[in-house]
Amino acid sequence: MAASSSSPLTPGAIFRTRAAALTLTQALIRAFYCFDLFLTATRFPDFVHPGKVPPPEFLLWPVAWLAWVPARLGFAVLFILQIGGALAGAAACQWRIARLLAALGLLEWAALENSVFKIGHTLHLLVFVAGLLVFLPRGWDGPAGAVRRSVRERTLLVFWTCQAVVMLSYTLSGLGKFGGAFYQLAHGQPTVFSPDALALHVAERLAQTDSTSLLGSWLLAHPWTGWPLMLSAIYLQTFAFWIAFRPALQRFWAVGLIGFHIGSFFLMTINFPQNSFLLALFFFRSPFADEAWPRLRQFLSDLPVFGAIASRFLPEQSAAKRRGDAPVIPLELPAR
Amino acid sequence: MKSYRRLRRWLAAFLGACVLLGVGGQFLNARHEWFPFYSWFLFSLVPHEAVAYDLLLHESPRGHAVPPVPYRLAGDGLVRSPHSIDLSRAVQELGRALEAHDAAESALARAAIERRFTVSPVRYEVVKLTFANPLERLQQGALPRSRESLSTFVSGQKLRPAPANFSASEPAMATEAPTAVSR
Repeated sequence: MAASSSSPLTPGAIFRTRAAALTLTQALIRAFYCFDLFLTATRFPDFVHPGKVPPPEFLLWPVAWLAWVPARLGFAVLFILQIGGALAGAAACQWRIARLLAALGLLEWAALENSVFKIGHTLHLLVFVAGLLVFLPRGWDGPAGAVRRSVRERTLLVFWTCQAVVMLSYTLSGLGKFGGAFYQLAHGQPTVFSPDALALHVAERLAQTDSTSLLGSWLLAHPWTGWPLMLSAIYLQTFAFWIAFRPALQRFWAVGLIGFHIGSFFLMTINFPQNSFLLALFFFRSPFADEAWPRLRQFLSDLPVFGAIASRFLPEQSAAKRRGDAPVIPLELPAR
Repeated sequence: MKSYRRLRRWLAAFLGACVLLGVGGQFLNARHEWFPFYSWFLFSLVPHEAVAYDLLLHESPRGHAVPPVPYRLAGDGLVRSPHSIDLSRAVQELGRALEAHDAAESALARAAIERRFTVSPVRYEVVKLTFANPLERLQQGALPRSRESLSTFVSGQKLRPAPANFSASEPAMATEAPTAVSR
């Protein structure tokens, strides 16, 4: 659907590229709301047996009102909001009110589920994406060729921000590991860059939960095998936000981060299926990336850190090819 | 286009807020985040100390445990979801809070733990276990090099720690007068 990366960026080509990007964006946004409805449907048994209202000291602010109403009424309101919001979002996401209800339903669900001693984080990105999509402009879902330029570009911008917030979460995680490494290095402790760092994490996690994992025992018997995995995960996480500006790398990076989640489960029984979905949805077929996998030269030169090194050894690109390879992320207004 | 540029500024501010509020909440909030903004600082520190805290159940309306039973091994459905990571973290937080004499944090952790008991009251003891290191601990089984009793509590009572007045290695009922239990 996107223009070939080797065609020059004439105004007509830009328009066709942007219109194609909008069409794909519209489909991906609708898919997000369908996923929200699917997730809500998987929770129907929880709605029948909601349990008790958490103690006031654990209630997160979006559900603090539960402490002031009868429990049955509170749960009824919550579940109507969640189910109604998910249904409205899936059926009528072209309307802002429907998207707002869907976002509110997700926020309340995430707040209720995490009104426990330690907050979990499997739903946070869903809440952010749903919140951002509320800001889609009116008319965003019209035929791509007929939508006004400002509506088209604002739609693409909101979608790109959803991509950015997903990647930002991974970058913060990576930066946190660097911060932790500096702290532990200063205290003479092993760091995340140590050869047995992953093995120590796995051991601690399995001991905490008194459980076993499919690959945990093998890794603990061969702790050195965790070193390249850990370094790769840190690289993928730390530079994830960079990838929001490098469409050519987005598919590869999403595969890598999903691989990280797969490894997290089979090593430490930590599962983030919602994040894997968001990575696949936003990056496997990004509206801002070419349909085909990038050429090796572009791929290597776009890599964080290694790209600068690789570029020194790769042959120069022709000016025409460089123009054709320019990313079309919507941070600047195109001519048409 | 004004609307485009205005939206772009707002979205950039939102991304900035994600970073500031996420990192700020990590260090400034007792629960380490201002929901839903989070720092995503997960697994940033490599566990190197082989210190862990455990909860030993001594007595419940179902009887006395001699020797005291670690909560993960409590039978008869005494503890709901004993392998839950949420409960595990609450136990670790309680141990750390007791060592740091942090009354507020220990009260919060106790509330989280006692919600898991399926009966009441339950008398339980918080102990500190020291292993060689996490890898050795897991590979050799749960055999601590040392065990130190931090405090004992009775669930459902005022959130104030009772003095530890017996050694965890001795049978619980041998040296202590029975605690009055109201049903």
